[in-house]
Amino acid sequence: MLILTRKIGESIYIGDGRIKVVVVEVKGNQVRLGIEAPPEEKIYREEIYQQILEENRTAARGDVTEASLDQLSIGLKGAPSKGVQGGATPKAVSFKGRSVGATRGGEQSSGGSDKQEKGASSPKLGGQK
Amino acid sequence: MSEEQKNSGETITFQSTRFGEFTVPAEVLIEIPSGVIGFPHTTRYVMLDHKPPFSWLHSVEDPNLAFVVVDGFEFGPQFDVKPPIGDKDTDLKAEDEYAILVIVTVRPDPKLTTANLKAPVFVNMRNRKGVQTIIDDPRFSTRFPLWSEQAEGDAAAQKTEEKKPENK
Repeated sequence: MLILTRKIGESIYIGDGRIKVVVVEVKGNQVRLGIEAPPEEKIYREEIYQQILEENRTAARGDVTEASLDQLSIGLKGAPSKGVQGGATPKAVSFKGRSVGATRGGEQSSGGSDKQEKGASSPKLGGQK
Repeated sequence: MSEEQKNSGETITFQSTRFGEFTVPAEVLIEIPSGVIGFPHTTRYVMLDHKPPFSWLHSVEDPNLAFVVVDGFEFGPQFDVKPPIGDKDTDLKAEDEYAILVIVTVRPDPKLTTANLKAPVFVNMRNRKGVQTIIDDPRFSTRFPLWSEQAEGDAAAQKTEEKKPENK
């Protein structure tokens, strides 16, 4: 690892000056960094990146059975979580995109015939504080 | 490894440990050049339908790799994430249509199932290229509970009032 000493207001360049990191402030054991980078560069706090990585791995675990997912579908609809109907083999679908800046939420997706009766069934951000 | 997959008529056959063999038209492929975070070497996926609101984002390269996803627009206007305009994996431009896929972590107890609102996958509909982005916004957690109290309340209410199959 390359280790450099910088003072407040001093910078380093990474990748031929495409990325600039400046020390903005040092307070106790905290350092504030300013980063100038092209918009396509992804910049993450390490712990958040790790958290996402862990979550993805958990999500990808092979133990999601169709039955547990069906049960969840039913549970989200507010119906009794019994009578899991098995055997609906998934089909490949082409899903619809929305325009950038399109209004969301209100519009019903026109394409999917199996997408009616949302209302209570859709997960909502509502109750979250 | 990312030649244009536009030739119509071309099909791709892949295996799924969960669902068996699939043959799909090549144009439904979704390419995620950087992979889903933690899975950088698997870049080609298809969407498989499940019971709404769920779909699978299924790898065509790894028979065992699949994510349960929900359309991000299902979360309503409060999930006001900004698309990664200018992102180089997807070449997303302001005029492009895009989809938002929110990855769901299904747990053995379905009530503990959560959605990762912090890191949705954006797919540019023009070229079907996707990228998983991390949203720097404390409102959106990696473990947003999908099984709301309200849904549970409804379930209880419904149970006492007779089991009418509400959904279709």
